[in-house]
Amino acid sequence: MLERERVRETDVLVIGTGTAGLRAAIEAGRYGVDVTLVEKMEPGRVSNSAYAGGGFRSFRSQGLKAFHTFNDHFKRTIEIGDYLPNQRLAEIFTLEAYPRIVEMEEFGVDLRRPAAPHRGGQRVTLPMTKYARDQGVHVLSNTFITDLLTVGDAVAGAIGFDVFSGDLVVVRAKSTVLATGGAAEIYSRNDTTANVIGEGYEMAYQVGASMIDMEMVMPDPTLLAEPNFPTALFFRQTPVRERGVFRNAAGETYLLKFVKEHKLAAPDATFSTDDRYQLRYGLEPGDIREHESRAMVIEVLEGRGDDGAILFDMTRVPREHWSNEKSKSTVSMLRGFPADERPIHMYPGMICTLGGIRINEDGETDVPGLYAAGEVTGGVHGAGRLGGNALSVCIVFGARAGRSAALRARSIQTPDVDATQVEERKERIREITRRGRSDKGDVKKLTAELKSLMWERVGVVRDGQGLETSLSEIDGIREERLPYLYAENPRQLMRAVELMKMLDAGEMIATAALMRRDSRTCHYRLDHPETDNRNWLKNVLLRKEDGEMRLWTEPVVITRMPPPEA
Amino acid sequence: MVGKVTIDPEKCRCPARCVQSCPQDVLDWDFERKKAMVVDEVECFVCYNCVEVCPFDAISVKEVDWKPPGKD
Repeated sequence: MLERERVRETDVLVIGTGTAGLRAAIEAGRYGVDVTLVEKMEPGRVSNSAYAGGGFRSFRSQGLKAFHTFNDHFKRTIEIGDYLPNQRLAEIFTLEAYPRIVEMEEFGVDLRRPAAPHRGGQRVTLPMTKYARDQGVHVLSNTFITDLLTVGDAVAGAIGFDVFSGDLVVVRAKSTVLATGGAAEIYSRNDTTANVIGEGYEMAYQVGASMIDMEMVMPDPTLLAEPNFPTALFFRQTPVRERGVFRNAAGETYLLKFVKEHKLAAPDATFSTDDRYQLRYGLEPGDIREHESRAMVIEVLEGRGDDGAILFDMTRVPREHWSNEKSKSTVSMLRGFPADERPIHMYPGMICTLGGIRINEDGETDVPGLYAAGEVTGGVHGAGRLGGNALSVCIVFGARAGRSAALRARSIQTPDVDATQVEERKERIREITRRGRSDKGDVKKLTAELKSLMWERVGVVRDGQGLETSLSEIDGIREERLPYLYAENPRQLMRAVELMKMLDAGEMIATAALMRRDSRTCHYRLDHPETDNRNWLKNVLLRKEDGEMRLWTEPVVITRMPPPEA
Repeated sequence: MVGKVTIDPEKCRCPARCVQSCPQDVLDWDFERKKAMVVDEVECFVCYNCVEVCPFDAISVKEVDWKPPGKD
């Protein structure tokens, strides 16, 4: 392992083949520069993009609940983000989403095609991968990038290895675009694909980039929590699903409490179901999923859960809704489960991270030569994300980052790589391959430990003490267990290095969450339950300085929509 | 959505495209035998991504009934 070495020289290196990375690679290619697109898995096939519903929102697109004007879409984006989004980025996003969507047709993407079950986003990522290849983008698959390389202050490419041959891969690049996705997989309950572990956060952090809003991790309330079902299954809207009712162990619909808590008008008796309740108040299902998730976790924390979960009761849903063609996905998902006889366990899980690398309007990070796009970045969503915005953000800022990266590449020479730095990075990885097998260094066990501590202490409901404990537990894994971490083959080596990066991403999330002493949308602290606009209408930022994590706050960028007076 | 995943070791001979397409780490690669293997079947939600990428028709996924714990 790690004996042979392959070196590639390129103008623009793009890491990740989700929607953002693909869009960045395609855009960079339009400027006539050499583009290398790297993917640790099978290109275009496994990412949050590929496994998303595949819906893009703009103020002109159909399908999703329509916002017909710039102002409507912008306003909703800022409101759901609880006034934390950077409004300059959100303005660009709102303006450019529609033209970017229309342009997708050129890449062979047909959004009118029905989305495939589970991997609806592949109708986007697969044609885009093919288009990128046809345009001359060089695609390296099965290549796991472990570190960015720097020359002086600037990023000069990256180093990694082939997860089958074990060959080292060094890419020298004039510009590098990180599009590695989020980090929801560092939570034991999540619906993301297993590769979305936040390596981009760690790589950007190591070279000095700033992170913004890292505490914001978005849950969805409807992940199955029933033994012998996969955990990643969540319930899409169907006639059956809409008529089901969430209950706690005592049979109460805990939603009543949620309504009171949010000072919404008391629902009348006819609103027995959660979703119809949302619709009644003009919300789209999904608009309040962070709040619903929080209500579920609090029910369980306060002792009203059933086996640590909430019951979703569809036993009284009339037969005709089960046989409705539109309910097919629910029926097929529950195949074999007696859902007409007993409720099914459900509980939230994390679906995406909203914070990430800070970028400007051009997709530039704080580090020269380093660009970022998609879920690995923060700024547009703030504290909560409007459904359908995730993928639109990827194409708007993917295109912008790709363009900026190409323009830089056209104006500079390929930087040399620093041989000592390469050697030092290699050595850190090699070390893992030299250790013998041990229980203490088992990557699967260690990863599971980290994931459950993140979910328990840095999850949907947090408090200062739990967050501090999580940080010392993360340190404990680093100090006591990482010295034993071993890998017997290159793919296991990828998992081992991923674990090291997950620990760093987890630390960033927990540290930012500890700093923010108020609650808003995706961040809820039992010890600071109120939204405090007077003191906390700010973004939490962090970066590495002199080997330490430094945190600070900055006022939110507000251009046209100040928060309502408190 | 519960899946039953079967790999035909006779037909399996590509470099693990199924393993590298699985969103749930249901599959892994056996570096000694150079074959794909099923390691965590309960996490399969039957997306057929692996089936679609296999050039040799060596992997199959079947949607099966959910069973309560303790019953095979």
